[in-house]
Amino acid sequence: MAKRIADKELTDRNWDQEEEGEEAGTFSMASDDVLKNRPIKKAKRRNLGSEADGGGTFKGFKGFSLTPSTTSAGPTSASFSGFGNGGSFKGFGGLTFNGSASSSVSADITTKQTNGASLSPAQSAGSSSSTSYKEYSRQLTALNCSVRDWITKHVNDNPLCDLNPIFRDYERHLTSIEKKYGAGASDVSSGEKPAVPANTAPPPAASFIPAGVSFNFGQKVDSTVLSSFGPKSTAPSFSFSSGNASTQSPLFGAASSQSFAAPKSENTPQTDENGDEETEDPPKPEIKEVKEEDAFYSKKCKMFYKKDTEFKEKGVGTLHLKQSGEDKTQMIIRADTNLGNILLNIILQSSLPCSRVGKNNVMLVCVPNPTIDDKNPNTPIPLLIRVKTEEDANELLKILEEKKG
Amino acid sequence: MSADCDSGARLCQFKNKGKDTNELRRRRAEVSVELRKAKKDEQILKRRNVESPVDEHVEEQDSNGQTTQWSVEKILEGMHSESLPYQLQATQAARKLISRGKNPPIDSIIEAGLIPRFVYFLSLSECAPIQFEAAWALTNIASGTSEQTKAVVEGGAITAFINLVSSPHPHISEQAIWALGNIAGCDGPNFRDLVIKHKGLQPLLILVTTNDLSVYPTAYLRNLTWTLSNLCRNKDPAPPLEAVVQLLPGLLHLLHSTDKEVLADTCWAVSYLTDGSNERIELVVRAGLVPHLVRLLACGENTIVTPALRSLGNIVTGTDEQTQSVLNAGALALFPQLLRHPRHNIQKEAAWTVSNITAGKHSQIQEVIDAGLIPILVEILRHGEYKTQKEAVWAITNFTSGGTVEQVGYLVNCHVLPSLVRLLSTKESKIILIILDAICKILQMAAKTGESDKLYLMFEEVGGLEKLEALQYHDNEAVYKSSLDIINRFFSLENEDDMSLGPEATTDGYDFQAPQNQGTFKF
Repeated sequence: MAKRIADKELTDRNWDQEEEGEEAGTFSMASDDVLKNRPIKKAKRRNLGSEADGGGTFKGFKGFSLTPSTTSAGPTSASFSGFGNGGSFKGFGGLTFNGSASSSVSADITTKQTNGASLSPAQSAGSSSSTSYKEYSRQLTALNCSVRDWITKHVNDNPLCDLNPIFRDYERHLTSIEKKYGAGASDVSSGEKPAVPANTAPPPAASFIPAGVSFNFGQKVDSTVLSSFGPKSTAPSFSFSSGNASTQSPLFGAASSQSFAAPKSENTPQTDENGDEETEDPPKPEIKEVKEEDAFYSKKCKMFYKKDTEFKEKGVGTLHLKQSGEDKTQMIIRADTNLGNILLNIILQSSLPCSRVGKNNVMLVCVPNPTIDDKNPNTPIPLLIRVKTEEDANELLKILEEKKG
Repeated sequence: MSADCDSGARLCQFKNKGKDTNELRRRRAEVSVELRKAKKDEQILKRRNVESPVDEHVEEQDSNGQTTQWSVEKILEGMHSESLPYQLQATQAARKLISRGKNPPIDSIIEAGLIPRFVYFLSLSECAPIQFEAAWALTNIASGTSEQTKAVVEGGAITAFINLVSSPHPHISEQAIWALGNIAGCDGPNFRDLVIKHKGLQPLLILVTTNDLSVYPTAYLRNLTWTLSNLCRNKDPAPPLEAVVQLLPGLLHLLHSTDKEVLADTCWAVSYLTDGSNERIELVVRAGLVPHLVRLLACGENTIVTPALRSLGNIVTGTDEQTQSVLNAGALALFPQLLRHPRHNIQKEAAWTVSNITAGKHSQIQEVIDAGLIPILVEILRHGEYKTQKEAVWAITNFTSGGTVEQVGYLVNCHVLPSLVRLLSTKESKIILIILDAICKILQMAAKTGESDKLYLMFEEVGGLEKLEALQYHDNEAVYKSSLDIINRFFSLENEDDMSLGPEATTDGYDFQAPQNQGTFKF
């Protein structure tokens, strides 16, 4: 128990004394000696396109809602948006409340921020064999983007809305797309299939709804309490809030063709926030696996560049190798941020020096593009690419050697 | 001795000629009040009867109409004389000497061995004046230093005074009560316990409980209350439990008084009694005092509100049930005003009290919410007085530790984050740590819901990340660790598969995590 007794004895003698004012002051810094030995970490910023309006996120904040999986017995769980407990609270702008705890939604859908996960399949595969696949991709992209936007809008307006009609429409539309364009879908290799959670897919592409494609979703929004999604799918707990669309895919996948089974399995290292309900583990960051189109090799990595005597981190991202022209290979390292900015983009030259370093690193020397050192834009510098395991590093080196010509 | 008695009686009559006891008492009371204020820095637990110089001259008239200033020798002689009237005279002279404002020769009187003599006179119930004079003299000796009080006690005064409490003469009873108050309040619990051991409580409490308080003159009641409060005072040890059990009904009675001083002193007594183990708190709660304390919380008199609030604050440091008794009495309804009280100390005590309630059960946290206190706490965090802010921080942290997800969500909606983050700049490490604790708990809670991203953004928007990064440079190691921990858990730049720390710069280049040979590269 965190009870604290009085810090000062109070009596009929001293209660009336003038109190010494106390000031908050400001904190004192540690000495340089101490600081030298401290690993200091920078914090991750999520708000890249930060709104000037400080109340931005706050306005959208509707209190805490528990994800469906955290409810053990369906609607009696304590999930809610904002308050679930009677109406004795004052609302703040943008808050909505459940009428009463007992009818609170066990499957409250919280909208993902637009800079969070979005259902954004990659751009339609360019190098795929069949043009019908191109069109298929286009259509699917459009469908998913529409769904995403529709859900975003309506759940923002009313988190209690019943999304069933939308999903039914989605199924309907998806089936029709499959019929019209889906013949080639099964031909596509896993590398080219649109990935379902594509957090770092280039946003412009993701939000682009191909012209001429439009979908209608249920006009009437059923604002009755949603039933738990649990029974509908045996997949690991359904959670919009974790932003993992891949857990949604079993649901969506129910009606769609098997072609989608493959991408799902790639996304198995799921962050299962819901599983953390019982433990004190912090939420694990989501895996953002980018499906770069045409990449025949992709690997998560961390990139460093050498400055003076030490290597400085450039960023964390995914390394892709793509065919570029006849027999050239392009290496792109794209950052794992929402912008997905390019950390490195070079064509592998046969003269490119590369070697294995340490347990899980590959070092190469080249002129960095984009430029790292503006003063010496054309000077080659050593770059270090760190991958997860020793095997991965070996593999990467092998491929680089192979492909550089 | 009858002749002496008669003459003594005559003297008694003479003594009191023109002045009735009430007037005497009143004058004493007025003067003693002034004294009390003037002697604030000294051992004010004891109070002295002092006559003003004017009185001294007036009353000095003996049977010859001459004013005399007695020397200690003369007093000694007189008090040991065979003649009661002379004894009375001498005793009165002694009293006056002792009562004079400037440097009363108390030690001389003690050294003259007069204390046992005074004590003896206390028992002479056939001569009320001498009892009165002796009582007054001893009271004033006992209001001096601890040594002086000790001398009085060692002279056997306690029992004698206890007997005098039930004297048929109100002014003597009052004097005895006053003396016992001085003795019991003497620094430390020893004399208090001695009074209790000598069965001093009973006669005092009988006065309180058997009569309607209105029969007592105000001064008398105030004296009585003050003495009882001294019997509740002090810790190490606290008053014996049996004594507390006896005292409580008396205090309950006194809480019905309408006199402000009586109420204040009674509340002080309760505040001392509640400043202890849960067992002691339980006694107070069982005695039914809580509703009255809450009632008094609203009375608007700082002299009463301060100890009443302290008492209630002490009670909520107890068990959940004890805390609940305070809530059930409707205390929280008074807190909006108390948290904004013009006196900073009351604000602080109120916030402290709330912090101990938010350390309780969910339902109790809910009551704090329902009373609309959270926005006020946030207000305090924003621009309250620093000491009060600290208590408010505790209240918030306890809330985040014990609250449900729902409740913590409410807390966030009350805009607590920006103020918490701003207070991270304080210099007190302890406060920084508990703020970080609260922040961590909030973020943890968010992680259980779907709202973590929103919360992270919110935290970022209020400058939380900059603060966390800065705190890693803090002097205090624990602060560094705590802020680093939050960054690692919620704002980590690394992926979960731990492509963690880049090479750390050391003096000879860089270290990779795996201690293997670094491949060298040559152009």
